[in-house]
Amino acid sequence: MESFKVVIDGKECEAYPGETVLEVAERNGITIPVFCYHRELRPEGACRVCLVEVEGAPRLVTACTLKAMPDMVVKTNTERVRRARAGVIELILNNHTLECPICDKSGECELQMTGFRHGPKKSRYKEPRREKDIVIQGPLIEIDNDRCILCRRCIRMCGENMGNRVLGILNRGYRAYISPFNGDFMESGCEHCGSCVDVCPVGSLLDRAFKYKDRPWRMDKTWTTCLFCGSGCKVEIDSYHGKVKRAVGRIGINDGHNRGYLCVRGKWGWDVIYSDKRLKEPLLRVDGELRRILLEEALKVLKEKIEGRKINLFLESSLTNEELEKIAAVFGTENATSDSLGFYNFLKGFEKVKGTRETDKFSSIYDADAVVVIGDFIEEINPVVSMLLRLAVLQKGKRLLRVGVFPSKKLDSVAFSKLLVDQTEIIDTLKHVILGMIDTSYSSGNRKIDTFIKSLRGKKVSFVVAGTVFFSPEAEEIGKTVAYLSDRVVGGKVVAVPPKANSLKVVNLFRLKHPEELDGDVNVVVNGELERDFPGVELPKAEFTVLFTPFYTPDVSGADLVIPVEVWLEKNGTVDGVDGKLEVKTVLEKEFSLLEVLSQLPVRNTGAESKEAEVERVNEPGQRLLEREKGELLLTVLSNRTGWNSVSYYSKNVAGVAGERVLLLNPEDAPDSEMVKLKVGNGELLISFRKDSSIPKGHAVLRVERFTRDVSEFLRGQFPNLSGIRCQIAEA
Amino acid sequence: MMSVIKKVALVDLLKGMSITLKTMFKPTVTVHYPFEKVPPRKRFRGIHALKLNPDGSYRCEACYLCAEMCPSNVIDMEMTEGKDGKKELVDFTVDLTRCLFCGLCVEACPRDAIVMTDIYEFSQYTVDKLILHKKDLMELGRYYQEWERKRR
Amino acid sequence: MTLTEFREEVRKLKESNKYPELKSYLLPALWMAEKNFPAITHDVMRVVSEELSVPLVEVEEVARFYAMFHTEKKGKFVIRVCTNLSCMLRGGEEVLSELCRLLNVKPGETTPDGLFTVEEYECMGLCDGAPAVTVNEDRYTNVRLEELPEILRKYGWKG
Repeated sequence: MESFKVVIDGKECEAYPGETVLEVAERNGITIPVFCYHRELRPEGACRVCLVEVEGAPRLVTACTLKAMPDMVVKTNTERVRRARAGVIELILNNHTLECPICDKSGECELQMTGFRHGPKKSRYKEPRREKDIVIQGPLIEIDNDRCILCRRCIRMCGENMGNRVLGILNRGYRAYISPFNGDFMESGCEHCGSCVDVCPVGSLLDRAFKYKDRPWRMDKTWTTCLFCGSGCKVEIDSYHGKVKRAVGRIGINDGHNRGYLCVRGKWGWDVIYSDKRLKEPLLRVDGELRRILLEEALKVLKEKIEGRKINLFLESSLTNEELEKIAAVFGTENATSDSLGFYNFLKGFEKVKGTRETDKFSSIYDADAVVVIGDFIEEINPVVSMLLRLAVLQKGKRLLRVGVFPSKKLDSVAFSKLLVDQTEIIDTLKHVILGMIDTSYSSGNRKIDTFIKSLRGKKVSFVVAGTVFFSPEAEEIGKTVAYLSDRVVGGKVVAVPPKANSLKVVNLFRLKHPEELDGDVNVVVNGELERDFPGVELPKAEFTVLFTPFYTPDVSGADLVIPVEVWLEKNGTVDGVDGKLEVKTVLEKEFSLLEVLSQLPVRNTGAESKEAEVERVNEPGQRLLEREKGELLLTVLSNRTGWNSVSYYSKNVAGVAGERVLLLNPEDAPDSEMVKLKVGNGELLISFRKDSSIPKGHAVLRVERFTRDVSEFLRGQFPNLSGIRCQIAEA
Repeated sequence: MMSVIKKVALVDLLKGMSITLKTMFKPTVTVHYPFEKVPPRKRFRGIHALKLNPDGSYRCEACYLCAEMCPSNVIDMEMTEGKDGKKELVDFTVDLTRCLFCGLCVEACPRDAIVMTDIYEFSQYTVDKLILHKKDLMELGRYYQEWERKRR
Repeated sequence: MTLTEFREEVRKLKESNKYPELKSYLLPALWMAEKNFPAITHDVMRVVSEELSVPLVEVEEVARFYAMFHTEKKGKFVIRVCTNLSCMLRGGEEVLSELCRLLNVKPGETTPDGLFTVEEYECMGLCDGAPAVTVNEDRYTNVRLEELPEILRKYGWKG
C-alpha cells in the first residue's frame, strides 16, 4: 500500500489508505480525546468528543470516522476545537451522577480523565440532573444507567465483536438506557465474557464480583496467563495485600495474543483460590481412615511408597513447564496418561505424515488469506480462540471456512463458506478437498464441497484445528488428513489449539498411554480429578494411591495419601501455549507448592529409559473410522463453558451462571416422552431433553455443567472420546 | 574589693530573691500537667475519628481518598458490598505510629467523614493498640460529636 | 388472539416472501402484535424473536423505540393529541387538558375501564387541520373543545 502525507498540528504524518485521522494521530503521538471510539470496535461517531478542525471543511469533523486523505491539514488543538470539546464534555457531565467516591471505575475512568484534561472548568447548567435510576443486576454484571453516557461501546462489543447481541438500548432520546432483554442476562443468552465491562469508559457496566470491593488504583497488577483452557489468554490479576480482587483483560491495551478478550472462566474464575473446598493440609489413610498429617510426614511416606516402584501417572494438563519437567524426573515419563490423550493422538497422526510434531503459532493465521477451521464447539472449549477467529474476519478481512458437524452461532455468521457434514463423513469430506486441491478439474459430485474448494484455490491457507476434534475417536486420522492436506495448499500452516493450557508440553514430554494400558504399582494423580479430566476411567488397582490436588475432589475419599497443591493463580512459571511460550506470574503467597514437594523427592534414574520411538511415516490421508448403525446416534458430551476445568464447581462466581444438564436432539430423532434413556455400551443415563433443530440428524449433544459421577459412569470405557460416541436412545 | 563586699553582703542572692518575691504573688503560668490540662485550641489536630450520622451510622463511603492523600501511608480500609447493595466499610485502620497529624486526610474527604479530635494523649503500652480500627474510630466519632456540640 | 395464533400469523407473513431478509419482517410482525394484543409483552417479543431469528433484545429495542408500539397495557382506543407547533398555536394543549379532565386521567394513562388511553403526541402531519386528534386510526381536525364529549361518546364514553 502506498502511503501519503497528512499534516496534523503542523506535524507531517505518514498515513495509509483506509486509515482514519484518529489512527494516524494516535500513531504519531498526538492525543485526541475519545469516548465512543475504541481500537477494537467499529467507529461510530456518537459522542463527538474527538472533533477536529480540517482546513477547508466548514464544520468541525469527528476524527474517529474521518478517513485520512492526501494533503489533509488537521488541527486538533485550536481554540475552536477546545471550546467544542469542552462543550461536549459539559453536556455529557450534565447528566452524569457525581458518584466518583463510590464508583468502582474511578481511577481508571475515561470520563474522569478526559473531563479533567479537556472538560470545562465549570458547568453552566442549573437544571436538575436526569435520574434514570435504572439498575440492572445480572449474576455477574451490573448496569448502572445513571452513569451511562450512551457511547454504545458495550453494544458494539457484544453484538458485533462477540456476535452475541445481549445488550441493547431501550426507549429513546432522553429516556434511553442500556439493558439486556427484559433485564435478564441469562435469558438473553449472555456468555458473561466480561468484554462489555472492560470497554465501558465509565462505571456503568460493573463487575459484580468486584463491586465495592476495592479501589482500582491501589492494586498490585500482575500480568499472567490464564490456565483454565488452552487459549492461553494474557490476563491482568489485580490483588491487594495478597488477596486477588479481580481479573481484567484490558482490551486494547493487552499485548497478548488474545488482545484482552477473556471468557467467563478467565474473567470470573479466579475465585477458585478462595473456594471453601480448598484442601488445607495433607491427609494420610491410617487404618482405613484419612487423618491429617504434617507435610514432612507426608513426604516421608511418599518417598517410601514410590521408591523403586513403577508409577501410574495421571496428569492434568494445566501444570507449568517447570512442574512437568520435575514430574517427569521424579515419576518417569513412560507410564503416564493425561487428559490430553486425544490431542496426543491427533499430533501422532500429524507426525506420521509431516515428520514433525511442531504446529504453528496461533498468530500465523494473520498471514494467511483463508482460515479453515476444523472442529466444533470451539466457543465452548476455547471461547477466546473462537472470538479471535471471528475478529480475524471482521477486522482483518480473512476468509473463514468451516468444516464441522454442528452449526456455530459465533463463527457461522461470519464464515465465508461452511461445510457441515455428518460426523462420519468428516474425513471423506477433507479427502475431497485434498483431491480438489491437487486436481483443478476435480469434481466431488457435491456442489457445496466444490465451491468450498474453489474458494480455497490460489489462496494462502491456514488450518485451525480445535474443539471436539481432539475428543473424537478419529483424532489420529484427522491429524493425518490435515497434515496431508496442509502439504497440498499454499501456505499450509496448521494451528492445533490445545484443549488444556499446557497440553503441548505434556504431549512432548510424556509418552502417553491409554489408562487401561498402565501397569504400575502406585497411582499418582497430579492436579487432576478423575471424573472431570478422565471421564469413564477407573483408577487401576494399585498398592497405593497418591493424590496431588488443590481441592477436596471426590477422589479424596479413595486416596491413600493426599497432598495439597496450589492453583495456577499462585504459580510462577511458563507454559507452552497456542502462541509460543507464555508466562505465568503471581504475587500471591502459597502454603503448599507442588514444585517444592517434588524437589524433595529423589530423581529417578532416567538414563535407562528409551528415547522416543521412531514413528513410522505414512504418506496418505487418514481413514474413516466412525460408522453408525441404524437407530444409533453419535453423541457429543460437552461440558458447558462454565464447566470446563470445573470452575463452575469451585468458583462461586462462575457457578452462578452455570448452565444446566440437558440433552439436545434433532426433532426428528426425538421420542415423544419427556425423558429419554441414553445408552452407551453398558452405561445408561436417564435425562430430560430438548428438541433443537440446529442439531443435525443422527447426532446428539449432551451438555453438562460439570462431569459428575453418573456421567462418568455412563461413559465408562470411552476415554479419551467425548465426541462421536455411538449411543442409542429409548423412551423412558 | 567591691566584689568581696558584694559577696559578703549577699547582693546576688538578694537580687535573685527579689524576683522570686515579685512573682510570688502573680498568678501561675505553668500547669500541673497530669492533674491539670490546657484545653486545646479550636483547630487542634489530634487523633482521628469517623464522624457519625445522627442515626449512628458512619458517613464514610470508603472512597480511599484520605489514604491516597496521606503522606505517610497511615490509613487503610477494607470494603465490600453490603446486603442492601450499598457500599459497606468492613474495616478502617489508622496507624498512629506513623501519623504526623498533618490533617490532609480531613482535607481530602468528600463526605466530611474523617475528622480530627482534640485528643493528644494516646500513648499505649503496646504498639498494636496504636492501630485504630473501625470500632475505635466510631467510638471516637461519638466523642467528637459530643465535643462539637459542647463547643457550640 | 392467542400466542399460538400469533405465531401462525407470523409464519404466514414469512411465507409471503415480501422481503429478502428475515429481519425485515420485524416491523410488520410488531404491527400485527400492536393491533391484536393490548400490549406487546415480552412473551410476544419472544415469539417474534424465535420466528424471525432476531436476537431478543433487538425485538425489544424496536418495540420500545417507536411511540406507536405499546409495551405497557393500552386502552381499547388510543387518543393521540398533537402538541407540536401548529397544533399548540391553535390550542392543542387546551384540547389535551380538557380531554384529561373529561376522562380524569393524566397524559399517557389509561382510564380505569380500559377504554381510552390519552397520549400527548408529536406531529402527525395534520398541521393543515390543527389542532388535530386521532382516535386509533380515525382523524379529527380543527377540534374544538366543545366537540370533545361528542367524539368520545362515539367510542362508547358514558359521561
